[in-house]
Amino acid sequence: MVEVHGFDWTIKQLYTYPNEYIYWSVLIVVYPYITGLVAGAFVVSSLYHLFKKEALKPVSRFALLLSLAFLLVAPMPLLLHLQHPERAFNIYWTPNTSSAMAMFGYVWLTYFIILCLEIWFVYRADIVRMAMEYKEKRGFFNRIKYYIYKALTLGYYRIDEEALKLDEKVGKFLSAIGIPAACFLHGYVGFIFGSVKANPLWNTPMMPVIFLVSAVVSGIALTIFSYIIAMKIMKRDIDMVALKTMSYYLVLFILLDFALEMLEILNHAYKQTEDWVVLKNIVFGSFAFTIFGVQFLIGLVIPAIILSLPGLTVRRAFFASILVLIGVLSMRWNVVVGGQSFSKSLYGYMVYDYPIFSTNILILKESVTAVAFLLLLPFIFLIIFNKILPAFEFKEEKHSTH
Amino acid sequence: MLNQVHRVILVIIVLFIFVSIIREIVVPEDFGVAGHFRYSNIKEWEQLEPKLVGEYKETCATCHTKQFKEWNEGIHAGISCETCHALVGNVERYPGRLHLSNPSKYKMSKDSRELCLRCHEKLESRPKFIKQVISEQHAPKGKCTTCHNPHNPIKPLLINKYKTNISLITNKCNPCHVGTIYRLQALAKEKDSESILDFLYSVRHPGYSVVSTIEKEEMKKIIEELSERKVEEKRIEKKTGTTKIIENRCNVCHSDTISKLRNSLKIRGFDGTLDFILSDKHPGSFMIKDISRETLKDILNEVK
Amino acid sequence: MKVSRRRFIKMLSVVSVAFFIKSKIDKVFAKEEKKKKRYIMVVDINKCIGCGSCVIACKLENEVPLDAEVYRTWVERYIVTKDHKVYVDSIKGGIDAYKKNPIGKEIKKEDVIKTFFVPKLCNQCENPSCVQVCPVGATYKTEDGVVLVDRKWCIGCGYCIQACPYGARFFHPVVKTADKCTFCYHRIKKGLKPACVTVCPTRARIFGDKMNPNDEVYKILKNEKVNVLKPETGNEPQVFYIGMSKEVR
Repeated sequence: MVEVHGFDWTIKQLYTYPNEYIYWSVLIVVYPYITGLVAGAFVVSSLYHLFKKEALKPVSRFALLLSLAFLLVAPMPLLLHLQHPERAFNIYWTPNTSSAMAMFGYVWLTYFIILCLEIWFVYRADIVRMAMEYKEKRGFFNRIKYYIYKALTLGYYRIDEEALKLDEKVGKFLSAIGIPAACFLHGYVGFIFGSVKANPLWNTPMMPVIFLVSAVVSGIALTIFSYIIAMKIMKRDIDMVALKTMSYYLVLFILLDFALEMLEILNHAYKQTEDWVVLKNIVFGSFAFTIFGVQFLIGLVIPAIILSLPGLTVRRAFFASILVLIGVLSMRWNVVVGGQSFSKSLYGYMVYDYPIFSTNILILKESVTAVAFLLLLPFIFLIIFNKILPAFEFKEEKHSTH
Repeated sequence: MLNQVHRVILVIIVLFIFVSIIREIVVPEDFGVAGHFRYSNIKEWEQLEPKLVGEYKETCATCHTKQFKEWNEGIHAGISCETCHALVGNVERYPGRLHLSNPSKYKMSKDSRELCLRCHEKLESRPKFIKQVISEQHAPKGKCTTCHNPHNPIKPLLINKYKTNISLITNKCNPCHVGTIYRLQALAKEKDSESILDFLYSVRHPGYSVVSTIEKEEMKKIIEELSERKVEEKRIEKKTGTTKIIENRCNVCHSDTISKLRNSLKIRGFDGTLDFILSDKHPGSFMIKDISRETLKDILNEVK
Repeated sequence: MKVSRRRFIKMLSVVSVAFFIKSKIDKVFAKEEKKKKRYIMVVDINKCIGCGSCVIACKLENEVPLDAEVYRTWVERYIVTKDHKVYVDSIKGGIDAYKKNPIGKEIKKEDVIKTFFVPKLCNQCENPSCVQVCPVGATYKTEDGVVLVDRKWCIGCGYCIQACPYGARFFHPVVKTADKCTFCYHRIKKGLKPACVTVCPTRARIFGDKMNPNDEVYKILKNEKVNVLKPETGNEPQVFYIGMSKEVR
């Protein structure tokens, strides 16, 4: 039997076009998820850098590194999913200007450059200091570290007040263009789905907005989640002011997200166009649990209640952030898999029997195992980044007290 | 001295130039010549070799002259050779070009019951303009080509052996009767041609109006020829014995001959059954005309 | 006003030269207009008998593995019952022909009010959404209106498959790129008919150039009432159906 992509995990019900399979597997579910986390984490950082929310200072650098770590992983699910990953760069060589996906490549690149620059300007003073510090140190790893820092300085060692002021100024400017870039990045992911007119569930101008807002929700939740874990690992005290501020913004965006997502479903349900015959069986049938149970109740309503009850504790914030992360993941699932769970003939349905593990490499790369690895990867990146560019300022204080 | 902002911009410019150079190398020259695609790809598609032939007069007809002629005269004339001979079958599926390149190595498929039923199986959804049979009832174990010439299905098989214009009969009678030729043949063995003609051209014959479009003289000639001819040699095998006979004769049309016979024995009784299978009411009676009544009796006894 | 003879002749000659040039120009343009081709297919639903010959012929001609459940062309069966419920199936795309009757088993024979076969294929849209969304320019429309896929440039992202409203695209199981009906581009460019048209026993499929007034399809489009699938997408499909019922989607 020759391998037909999608054949192994698609169960067809009633009539579907013979060529219809669930082509966009669980990999494409985590792709907008990860991209959303990137955009959200950047917004947290920008709230400090651009809007001078001093309360968020302790997590601002951390959020930047988090954003970069996830940004590097963001194209990986796409690469794994491509049938010809070796040709992936064609997207950059010959981008089709009318394709949302081609433009996404450039948006991603622009955002990547902005993020790298932002990080560089925020960290430049530290990099210079490190380079000086490691210059005298002996030992193999110290030498390597020295060369890394030396390269990162780009040969510019001035860290007097004037230079630092310029750093801050540029950093602020980059933050200012970074926010629209981050929004564009994730709005564009929404547009990739929203512009598919052949798919009635995706085909809505709401899609970019919903993706964007839910991205911010998930990004803030991720920052809370990983901040708490990082502090526990490093055995440091958690800055409750920063935590409460993030929770405050999280609740705001959750409310907005809830309103938009509900609006979209109500829009479909009220208009009842031709495609509603199948959509109702998706929304109120096979996906009712993941939409109303997980996406709305567990992902939005419960965390909003937990976070807005007075006297927020670390444990509650942690719990709520996990719920939000699950909820947003399930929202991506509902869009990507839900949109492929019915036939475009509107006469049948497809059930996604997702592979968990397989010995067949073609199936393994689109399995839950691969996805779990991809979701773990940013944290490994984060640990490596943190080794070179420390995310938390208190380390620096430690140095100065020595 | 360049400050940090200048240096960063410089790095970006260097990277941009580097990437642009790679792009120049990687992207084919003809990309974007006539739209946003690789222009030579059109040629690549164009230059693929066709596998199905499609033109039959110049190719197939040069060797298969007889079949081509038959096909060309019949109602299957519009249907390409490859619809039947390349797509399905009991040999292997070879699109025409391969067969043309080496006819002895790449044999086209032919003669398959499955093949005919692709179009002629009875289906509710199938438009009524096409002849359809219920394959379970229509000679389930027989070959289609035993009775039909697929190249020209209106003409019965073996037609070229007749001196008279036998197609008059098949064209006009077959819509009502199954196996008209064999029926007439059997009839001619028992009665003389005059009495057959009297019957055919009388009101007792429901197809009277159809038959009357055929000249009586013409009809007489046909019947006389039929009576002279033996029942088709191929159909009569020398082997005897109950099972052989049932296998070779009855099973051509019936799938469950034995249970059918038993049923008949219950309803019609022994003699009734015997009379029936030899009578004209039984469309296949011509198949067993040559077997003696005694042998048939033995068979029935055995079945019983 | 008086016009001298010389002047008159001059004017006359100028006008005649102008007319001559204009007629030449017109001729050139007319020739170019004639050259422009637009390949289309007309499918007569009343004539399709569901034999599936087109499905096999297509797979053999275009080297799509026979046992892989992806099809460049396929045949659907529609059954409409008395209560106006619609049953659709396409058993293996119809490659083994339709043999078994679901009527009489799942559906009562007397309940059926209408039943028919519908061949489907890529609609070679005038305004193809697959071309619009391809990120790398690996799929495109040729001058004669056929949408092709560049097998050496396609990255296999599957966006075009999602964007096609007709389910005409799939991943080729061997080449691993997006694949679809090409109207047998290699055949039509050599003056042959596409494989499915060649083998169709009832001439349910008719192929031709709709710009050519002498072509059969030109006359059909002129004389028959034709319809297309999902016109609301704005894709302007170029496969036209005669006798299409509203149940067909």
